[in-house]
Amino acid sequence: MSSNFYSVGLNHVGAYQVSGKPFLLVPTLPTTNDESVRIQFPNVTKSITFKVKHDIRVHFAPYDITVPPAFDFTTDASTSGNYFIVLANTTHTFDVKCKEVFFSTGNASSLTSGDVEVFAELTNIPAGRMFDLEGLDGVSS
Amino acid sequence: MTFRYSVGLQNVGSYQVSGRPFLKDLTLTAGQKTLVEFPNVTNKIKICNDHNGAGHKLEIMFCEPKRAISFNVTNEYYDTTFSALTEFTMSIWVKTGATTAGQRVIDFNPVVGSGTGLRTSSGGTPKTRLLVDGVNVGTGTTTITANTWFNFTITIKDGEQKVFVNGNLEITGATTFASANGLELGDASSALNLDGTYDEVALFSSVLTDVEISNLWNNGGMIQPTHSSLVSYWAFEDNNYKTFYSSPDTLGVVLDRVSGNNLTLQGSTSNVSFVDGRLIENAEARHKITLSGQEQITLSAKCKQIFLHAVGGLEVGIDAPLTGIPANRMYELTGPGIDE
Repeated sequence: MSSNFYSVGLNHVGAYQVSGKPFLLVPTLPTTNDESVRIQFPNVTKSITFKVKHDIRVHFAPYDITVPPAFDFTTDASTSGNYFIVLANTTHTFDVKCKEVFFSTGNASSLTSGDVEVFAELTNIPAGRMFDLEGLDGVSS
Repeated sequence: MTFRYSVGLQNVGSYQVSGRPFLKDLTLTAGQKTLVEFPNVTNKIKICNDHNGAGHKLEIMFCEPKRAISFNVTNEYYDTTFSALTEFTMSIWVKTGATTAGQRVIDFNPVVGSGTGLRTSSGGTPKTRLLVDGVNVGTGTTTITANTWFNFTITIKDGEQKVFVNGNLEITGATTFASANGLELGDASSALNLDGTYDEVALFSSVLTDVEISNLWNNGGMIQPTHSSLVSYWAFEDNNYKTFYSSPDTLGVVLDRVSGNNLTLQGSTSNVSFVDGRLIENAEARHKITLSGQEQITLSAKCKQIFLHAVGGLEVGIDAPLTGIPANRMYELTGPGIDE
């Protein structure tokens, strides 16, 4: 008896149309300015929503690889301005497919627990099917 | 003859033509927790904290609202009997309020010598210790820290015993064992009684394999006790937080969800209470969205229920356009981003 194990891939249209598995996280916060916090997802996202009480930067690579941890990246988001600032007391949704996202702040001491909350709309595509974003134009350089 | 069928979770069209309205207005008192169930799977959920002021916050979660039972250090304990087993597996989630030597996590009957059961070690930093028919089988390696949830899985049969802590094998033994036909959670002696909380206790009439035990551990996610040798499952649920189990537990009698081996409270009855289970605790700590008064959010989520906690008294509005997919087609949500 044999078993066939398979999963849907990144280009499976239906996986995005029937997505919506919820993912909620109150992440740990950066303790130093420009330190990046990484949020990893078990499945590829369809969208990611940040709800914040202080300005934060959202990016898809570490903000500055000279500020640890660098998560084994050799390029970063700050060099070419590949980040988006989510303003205090707002909610912003990124309609992106990814397996991880990063955030940072230039004023870490102002953040307190619960100031950043994340909701992600997940597909059923395993995170391992997602390609590496590092070095892509708009992500890191 | 009539054929009845329903669409499933992967039916693309169900999301494209969704929009069956579902509106709900709830008034929640300070501290109240409630489960909002949808008749069909949602496509998105808009939630508004209608309180006129920022202070009264609403927490939104997707965890299963499962509960636990809490003891303190007096003489209360639960016991039950079951058909004699010459081999078995016991999985149990425990959080101790304080760790002291010799605390009885679980004991089995009949008592032979100084007994069979899992206890905290005597002397030094508390770890697990397994006794089988009076023989000290061994001591684990993980320090049992207070206010931390641990999963202990014990397998016992004649000549072979194991204890797994959070899915990792820590104690092995080869002592003789006759049989067990009852158990106690806690102890009649306040000096030995575990000060803490029990959640999701399951008994199997066979020795599960290491792989099966790993699956049961489920990386700390919701327990899925579906093995064919499952004898008893005590989930500590009641009707305040409605779950997929419909019968209510009481403090005096906790129902066995599989057979009739209900747990009966002995000793003091005033020091036992239902409390939030570990999944709720995890969700409240790390997996929630909080709305202040006059805030609202739209979550593009497919689910059959949401769990709400009103930190202060408030009114909440819910607008959830539904798909045509029946709620019972939706899987239970657990794991990363939900309750881990």
